[in-house]
This record gives sequence, structure tokens and C-alpha cells, in this order.
Amino acid sequence: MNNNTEITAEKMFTETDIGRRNRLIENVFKVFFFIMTCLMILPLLLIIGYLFYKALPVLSLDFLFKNPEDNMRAGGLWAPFLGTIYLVVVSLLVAAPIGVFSAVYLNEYARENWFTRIVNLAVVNLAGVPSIVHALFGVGAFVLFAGLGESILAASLTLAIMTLPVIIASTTEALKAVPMSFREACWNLGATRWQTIRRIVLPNSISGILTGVILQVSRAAGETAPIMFTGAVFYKAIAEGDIFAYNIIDQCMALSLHLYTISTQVPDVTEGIPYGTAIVLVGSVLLVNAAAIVLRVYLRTRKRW
Amino acid sequence: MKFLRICFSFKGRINRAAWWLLNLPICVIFAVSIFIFDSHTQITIGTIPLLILVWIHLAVSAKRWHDKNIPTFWVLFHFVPLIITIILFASPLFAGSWIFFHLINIVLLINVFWLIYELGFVKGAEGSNQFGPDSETSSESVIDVYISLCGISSIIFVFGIFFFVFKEGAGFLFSGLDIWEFLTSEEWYPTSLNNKRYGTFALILGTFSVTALAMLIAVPFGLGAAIFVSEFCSPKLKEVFKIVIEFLAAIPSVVWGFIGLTLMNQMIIKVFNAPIGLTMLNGGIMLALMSVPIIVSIAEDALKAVPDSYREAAEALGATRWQVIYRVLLPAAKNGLLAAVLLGAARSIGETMAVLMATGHSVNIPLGPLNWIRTLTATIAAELGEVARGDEHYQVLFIIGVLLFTITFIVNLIADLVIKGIRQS
Repeated sequence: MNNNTEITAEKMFTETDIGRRNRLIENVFKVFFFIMTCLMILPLLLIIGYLFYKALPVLSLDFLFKNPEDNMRAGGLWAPFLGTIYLVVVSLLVAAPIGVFSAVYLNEYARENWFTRIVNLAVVNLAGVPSIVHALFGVGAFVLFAGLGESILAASLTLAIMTLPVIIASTTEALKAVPMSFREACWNLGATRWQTIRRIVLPNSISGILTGVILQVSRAAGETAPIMFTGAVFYKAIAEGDIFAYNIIDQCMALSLHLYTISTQVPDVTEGIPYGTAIVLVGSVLLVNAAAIVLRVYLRTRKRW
Repeated sequence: MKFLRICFSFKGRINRAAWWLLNLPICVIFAVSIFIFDSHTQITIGTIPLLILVWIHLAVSAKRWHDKNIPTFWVLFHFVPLIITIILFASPLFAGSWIFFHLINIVLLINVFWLIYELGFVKGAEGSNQFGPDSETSSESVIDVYISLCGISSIIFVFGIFFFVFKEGAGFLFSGLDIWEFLTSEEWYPTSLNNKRYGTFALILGTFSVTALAMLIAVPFGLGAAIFVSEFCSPKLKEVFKIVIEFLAAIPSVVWGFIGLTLMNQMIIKVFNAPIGLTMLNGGIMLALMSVPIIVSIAEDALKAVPDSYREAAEALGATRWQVIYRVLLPAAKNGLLAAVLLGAARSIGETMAVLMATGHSVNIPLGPLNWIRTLTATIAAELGEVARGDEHYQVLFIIGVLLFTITFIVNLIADLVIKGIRQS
């Protein structure tokens, strides 16, 4: 009897053939999936490294603060860079309030019914509309119908509508993270719905909202198709160093469109310049994204509930 | 109802916030209408809406005066500059002299600043007065209406997008375009001098073939990465991978196009010994890299949504991690995974710049991955800049836009229904 138990215990802790095979399979799949994940990450490093390596000869501060010269075959990025900033800022001013309040509506006001479902569906679909269709919409609605012409304003409004879902999504996430008990406590003190939102919900979700706004900036900065026909032009000379050089009812250059132009439409561009433009564009977008990530991590460390 | 009363009634009280909230949009509308409608004919068309705005402005201001316990007729102060102008016009003494203009300007400025100060900055009387109860929360119904408007703005925008794109193309769609030929003919010769043909079959095929190729590459990698990140990863490594995926998603499409044009182009030429590397394969790889982040994040959400009790139950029965994934998680999360693939595909179909730059952009029925192709999106992007407004070609490009909108709308709708399906069950 005693002897017998010992043998069973020994058997229990030695691995059976099936167990060994299963462990092997598991490890094989684990490594396999790990490699897959890495193969996805590799291109990111490869691309940034490649762009940076190719751009190295032209990168300097002058590159950023000089206008394109010689039919865009040489020179810097000042005009397109400033244009992108204009487009991003104006679109942000439009998209941020609408997006944040839209999320407030969905999260704090809307009841669970068919109408709310349709609103949610509309947000999802707005995010899924192809960028070139947004461009067509911008041409039809802002450039022609509203009579804005091809201008920074028309392009920014198009970008704002296109990037609205980004802000709505992350603001909704941030608002959902505020515990219901906070709101209930506030209501019980006699506060109205708006007072609760204003004093409790928004202050407690401000970092998440900011993350959404930052992501909107990075998205808007990189878009090309929606601004191509609504306000961005191939070439426009402006004063170097003057940050008020553009007028918002006038056209502008933009980094993304500039990259497209010099890499496909202009012959004999100085070797490094398209790469330099690409690395400036990628660099600014990733920098903005990194800011959002840092903000999110910071928020998590000081979360009080 | 309460909102309408605040807008139009001359009775009751409101606070400063409500005054600002209603007057600022009125100012913006006035400014925009002056900016847009500079010719006189259009101003006459806009008179009635503008008069309504003036009414709202007066009603709101009257209620603000009430709030300070001041009777309604003080809104007449809004007309002081107007009255002075009329008097000065009527009197022969001042007509035409420069003092006349300066006087009016000074009166106008003083009047405006005084009114803004009194109505916008001075607090109302506390407690109730002869005009009504305390006004402290009167701005809330205005705020509620604004928030609701923002909330439904997405619906308005989606309809607006369809409406305006459709409107630009509608003329030709109903009068001259043979829809059957538009969808099934492969002859895309919009600029031909004597025989213009608008067949998009090759373009549709281009879009779907490059999307299919992209999905063929992206789906295994995306799902594999999602499984690894969600099931095998330590929390720290998971954080790193998520950041990398976010970065991958943030790279602008024009940069992907540029990579396709330079790096991938040379690689394809070398590896396949092809004459030119701008092919469907190139575009497919670029699209795959662009849609992988979406697939990973949505698939990971779907896996995360499977309750932990499923995993625990399976492991309690002695299943290994891989058996848990294969037998329990994948079947349980299959709707979410399907939605991930659909949304990734929708992203690929709608992508413009990358395929414009990387696929060779030449109308062609694709036979293999090393053929060059042209997609619907790229066609619009390349040709819209070169057509005259109202032209047949111009309208056809908008009809292609409607087609794209419809395709992505349907794909997104299916994905949404699939996701909602899991939530209900």
C-alpha cells in the first residue's frame, strides 16, 4: 500500500509523453507567434533607420527653416512645415470641441436605445470613410458649396471631420473610466447633470481627453488625400521665419503633399531631400504620438481610484 | 422646449453663460455670412434668417436685463447707434462731413462695449425678482442642446458626406452614364478625344486584388501577434509591443507610399528580378503593414473580451496554453476576430496615397502579384486635379467616390453587426 502510493506520487510528477508533446507544441507556437510579432515590428525600425540613413546628408536646422528652392529640387521645408502646422491647429480648434462634446453626449446623455446605436454606427462609419472620399466631400461641401474656395480653412474643416472619430473614441474611453460612484455622489449633493460633468467628470478624465486630442494632431499632420484638392498646393512661396506668413482663407503647402510631389512629380530632386522630408514628417508624427503615450503612462501612475 | 423659450421669449431671466453661449454663435454666423455673401443679392436672400438671429439676440439680452432687475425696454439701447445714424442722416448739417463718421463710430464702440460689459460680465440679482426665480442654472438647457447637437454631428457628417459626393456626381449618373458599363467594362479612357469610356472594372479589380493580397499577408501576422500579445506576453513586454503597434499605425500613408516607391521597389526588383518593382505585391505589402495595427488591436480586444473563467476552466481540465487558445479562445472570440479582419480590409480598400505611389498606377487587369494595377482611390487622387469642374470626367470621379463610400459603408456595417453579435450573446 505504502509502496504503491510512492510510485503514484513519482508518476504524478514525472512528465508523461503526452504532457511533453503538449509542452513542446506550446513552446513551438509561443516562439512562432513571437517571431510573427517581431516581424511586424522589424519593418518599423527598418523603415525609420533607412529613411534616417538616407536623409543624413541633408538634415540640418537650415533644412527646416529654409524655403524650397529651385522648383523644389533643393532648399528646405519651411513653407510646407508651417502649412502643416496651420492645417493641424485650425482642424484641432474645430474638431476638439465637437469631438469632446460628442463623446460627452454618447457617454453621459444618451440612453441605451436605437438612436444611440445609430449615432455609434455613424461614428464607426465616419472613421471608415476612405480619405479620398473625405477629399471629395471637402471639395463638394466646403470649397464649392460654402464658397470657401481652396483654402486652409476648407482643408482644415475636411481634416477636422475626418479626424473627429479619433477624438470621440479616446474621449469616450476616458469618460468611461470615471467611476459611476463619482457621478452618483455628485448628483446626491443636488448638482445638475452639467455641473457634474463640468466639475467631476471632465476634470477626472482630462488626461485621456488630451491623449485623444494629441492623437488627432498626429493623424491630421500625416494626411495627404483630404487636403490635396481642398487647400494644399504644390508650391507657394512665403516669408522665411515669419510664423504668420499664411492667411487661413488662402492656400498653403503641406509636408505630406510636399513629400508626394517631390517624390513623384518633380524630376532631379537632390538625392536626400525626399528622405529628409519623410523623416521630418514621420519624426513629428511619432514625436506627437510619443507625447500621447507619455501622458497616458503618467496618468496611470497618478490615478487615484 | 425650454431651449426655444430661452431663444425667443422676452419673459424670464437667464444668466451670463447662457447669454454668451447664444450670442457667440450669432456673432460667428453674422461674420461668416458677411464673409461669404458679399454681394447684395445674396444678402437679401439671407435677410429672414438674419432677422431671426437679431430677434434671438434681443430676446436673450432682454432676459439678461431682467436678470439684473431692469425692465425690458432697455433693449432699445441696442438701437442707439442706429437711431443716431438716422438722425444724423436726416439733419442737413452733418451730412458728408468727417465728424459724422467718427461720431457714429465712437457712439457705436462705446455702446457695444458697454452692452457687452453690462450683459456679459455683470452678475444678475440674487434670489428671485419680479421677472422670475434665480437664474443660476438657466444656461444648462442651452448647454444640453449644444452637447446633443455635437452628439448627433457624426450622423450629420456621414449623411453630409454621402449627399455632397453624390450631388457632384448625380448629374451624369442619371443622364448619360451606363451603370452596367461603368461597373463591368475594363476600358477606362476618360480623356480620349472622340470616344470617352468610363469602365471601372479594372479599377475595382485592382482595389480588391491588392486588398486581398494585403489581407493574405496581414491576417496571419495580425492574428498571430494579437494572440502573442494577449496570451503569451508578460505585462511589460505587452506594453512595449502595444506602443510599437501604435507607432506603426501612426506612420502617414504618404510615407508608406514613399517607402514603396524607394525601398520596396528596389527590393522587389532584386528579389524577383522584375523590370519594375511598383507592383501589386509592393502595394499589398504596404497595405498589409498599414492594416496590421488595426487587426492586432481589434483582435486583441476580442481575445481580452473572452472571460477569464473560460481560460481557468480549460486549464483546470489540464489543457496547455496552446490548447486553451486553439480550442477555447479562438472559437469564443471568432466574431471579434472576423470584425478585425473586416475593418483591416476596409482600411485597405480606402487607402489612397500608398497605393497611388506603390502600385505602378496603370489600368490593367491584374493576373499576378507582379502585375501593376490601379485602384479606385488612386484614380480619384490622380485625376481630380486635372479635370474641369462639372465635366463628365469630374462627375465620374465623384461617382467612383460614391461607390467607394458604399463599399466601405457596407463592410463597416457588417463588422459592426458582427461585433454587436458577440455582445448580445
